[in-house]
Amino acid sequence: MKKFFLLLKKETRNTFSFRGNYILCLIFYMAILFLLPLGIGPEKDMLSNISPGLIWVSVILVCFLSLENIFYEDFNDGTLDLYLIGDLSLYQISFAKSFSHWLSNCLPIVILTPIFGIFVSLPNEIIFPTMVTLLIGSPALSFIGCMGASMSLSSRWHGLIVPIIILPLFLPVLIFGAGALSTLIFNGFEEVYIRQLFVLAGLSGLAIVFCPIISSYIIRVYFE
Amino acid sequence: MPKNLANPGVFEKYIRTFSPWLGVFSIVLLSVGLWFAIFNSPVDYIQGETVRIMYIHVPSAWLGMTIYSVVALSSFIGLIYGHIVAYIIAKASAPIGAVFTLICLVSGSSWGKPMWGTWWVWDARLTSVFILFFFFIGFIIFSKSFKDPVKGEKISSILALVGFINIPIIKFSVDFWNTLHQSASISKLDNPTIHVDMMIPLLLMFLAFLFIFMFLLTIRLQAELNDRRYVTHALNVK
Repeated sequence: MKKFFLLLKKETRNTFSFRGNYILCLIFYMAILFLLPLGIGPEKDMLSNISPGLIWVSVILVCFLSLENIFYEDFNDGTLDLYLIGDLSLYQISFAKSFSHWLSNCLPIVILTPIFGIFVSLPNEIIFPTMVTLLIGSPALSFIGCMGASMSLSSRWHGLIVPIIILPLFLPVLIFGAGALSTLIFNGFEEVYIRQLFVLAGLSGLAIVFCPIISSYIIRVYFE
Repeated sequence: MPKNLANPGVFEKYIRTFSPWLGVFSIVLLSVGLWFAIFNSPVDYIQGETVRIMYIHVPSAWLGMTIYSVVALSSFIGLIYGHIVAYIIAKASAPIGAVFTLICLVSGSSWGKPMWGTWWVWDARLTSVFILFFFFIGFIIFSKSFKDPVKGEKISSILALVGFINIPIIKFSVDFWNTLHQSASISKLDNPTIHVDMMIPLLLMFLAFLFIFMFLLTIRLQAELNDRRYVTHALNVK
């Protein structure tokens, strides 16, 4: 267990260090949220109605961008071999990788929602619910994405193939995440919002439990 | 059930003998089914002649789901027993399934335009079938993208198994969410809510599509087996 936390710390520190790409992801996120209002038009009412959807879509796009780096470098330079020789199980390794991806790529976005929400004129009373849905839903993105990243390791177009195979699995998260906020904005039903939060939490829980198992099986196939 | 069907050589011999018969059956069934569907079935009293789109739309939707189940099941068998034939069935049937799903989507949207007044709505059934199409495309592209086919087969079958979650969602999407797409009217076996005169051509068309699928599958299987033989040979020579 101690080694697991060491690995988690090392992975997270790597992403936050200078060779990591989390700054790139934040800038990309900012760029999307900057482009969308310019494309849609600056009317404040319309923007604030669709702002939760815009935020969720940009979070998913940013996830696509950062996913391919989870395993790829370690797989190519042999770090993954060294991990395998050590006494961490593959499940622990892939769990640590996914969790550190969530810590370094999704958590900053969740925390910075009040600031980035200004761009898409997110209504003030929606800021906290948006943060809650992102906090509950984004682990599913990280863990499912990590599974996709491990699948695409030895594929020929490893960077481009991840979004294609992962996109259908991201859709339920997007539907329930953005849908919960839309019901809150358009109808004001607290109860429906909370019910959709439960579904979102269920999706995240499923992803957290099963995706590391699947990705550890896949990595085992590579090293057979 | 013959023995050694898991042996690719024996399997290939069997599909060579079956292939022409399946072709003949599919042509006969398709012509009978189309004759029933176009000339010998009643006109709906609300929808008029457009109801005939159903005879293409519904069988191709059923087949799309069936073929995905075939892909997932054969991937599962392949993962457990490691038979090459199972992997090859999954690989060969996926493009056919993608085409049937596309036919379902296109015919459905051209049926929706006169009936619902729109080409497309983000209804639960439509969205989940669209996701099924995406799973097919992802599986096809993904299974072709590996340098090492042996590992590629294993990993893409895991992808196929993960995508199988979508099939029950499609099936029950019209019951869970009350949306624009109508719910099932045939699978209620005790009293289907469809008239016999419409049911016969529908089932005939389904059988015809099923035989077309099997016929195309036998052709594609021969190609995939040859391809696989060539690839393994190239790997061994190297």
